Amino acid sequence: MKEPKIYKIRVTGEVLETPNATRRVDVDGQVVTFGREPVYVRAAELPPQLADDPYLRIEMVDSAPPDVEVIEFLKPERVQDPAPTAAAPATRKRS
Amino acid sequence: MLSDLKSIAVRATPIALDIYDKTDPTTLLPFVAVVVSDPSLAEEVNLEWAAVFPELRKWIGDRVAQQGFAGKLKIRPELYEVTLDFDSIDIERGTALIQATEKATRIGRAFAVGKVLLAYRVLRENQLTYDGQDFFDNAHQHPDGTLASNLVNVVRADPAAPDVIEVRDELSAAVDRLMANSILRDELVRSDEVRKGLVVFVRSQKVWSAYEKLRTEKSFGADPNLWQNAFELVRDFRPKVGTENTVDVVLATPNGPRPAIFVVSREPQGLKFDQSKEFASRYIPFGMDAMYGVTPAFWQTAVRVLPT
Repeated sequence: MKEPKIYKIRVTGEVLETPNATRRVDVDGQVVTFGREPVYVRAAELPPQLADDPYLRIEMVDSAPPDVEVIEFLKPERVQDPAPTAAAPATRKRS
Repeated sequence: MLSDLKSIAVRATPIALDIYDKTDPTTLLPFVAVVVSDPSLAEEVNLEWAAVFPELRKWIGDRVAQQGFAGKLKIRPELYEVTLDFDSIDIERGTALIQATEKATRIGRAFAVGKVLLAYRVLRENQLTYDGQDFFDNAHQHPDGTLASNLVNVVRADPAAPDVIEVRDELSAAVDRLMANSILRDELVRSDEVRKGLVVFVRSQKVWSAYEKLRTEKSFGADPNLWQNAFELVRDFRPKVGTENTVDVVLATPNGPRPAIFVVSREPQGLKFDQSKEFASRYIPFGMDAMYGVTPAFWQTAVRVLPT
């Protein structure tokens, strides 16, 4: 499993110019609101909903400031499915 | 030469403006945008929702100036122009007036059509709207805080080539979502008005074919086609890459909100001719200019059908 990293995320200037000045992103049912103040996210790999969003400014940081909530996007470690066993060669019953 | 040019300008200018005036109201602009006039030529226009859609309220105590629920919308109008040219030798040949007249017609029409495309870019490019979300997004928020989506996920056997039954179902789902999202104003909306104001934008030939069948067929087997002539169908020939199979459905109820707000700071005033290039290049450019601003607005009035 990859080592989790901490990301500092804010919205871009385009979003700040809108009346709301915030942007919500739905990450697999969890809606996170970003704005002028940075939001800290811990993830082994940033979800594509965040990573590919052109209206978010994302930086990787060593740690979040103390007393700041860090949102976790850590997927449970995936258990490797057992490899399908090779099918035994069909044998023909002798009649 | 100069007097010839003036004479051409005097005759061609009303033609360009006339064609523009006749074409403009017949375009799709009123379906896509609320058109607001702001002749101040301000660099930035600030609009309040309430200024666009004021509501009647009971007068208790002092009058209350209605405030927009989402703050002010900033719109920066920009200059737009259409310029063509004609050969100055045509003045000597006596054919310049015909050329200028014909081109003036095209300039007038280009303005009217161009305004629609400016407003339509809100949908085509899925621009950022007032709540900081993409225009088509699954994380919009109603004024009461509840989340809303104007993306409708549908399943087609072949995402690129739906059949008429599939598009009938997806259009129903789109209208359902539009009605669910339209809690923007305190108003009663008749179902007839919903059907009158539906505009469907498609982006590929195969999707067009299915929707056109839905729009025109009288019946499907024994079932009457309830969608016959119930919507306008529009084809976008230059969609953004990756959106070719999607369909946008706009609900344009009479005098209601629209996906975009279109600010007219200055309409075209008439043809202008530039003689400064004639000595070097022989050609005389001429055209019209205007000042418009567009901003994405009411995401509640449109949905995007996303097929998988």
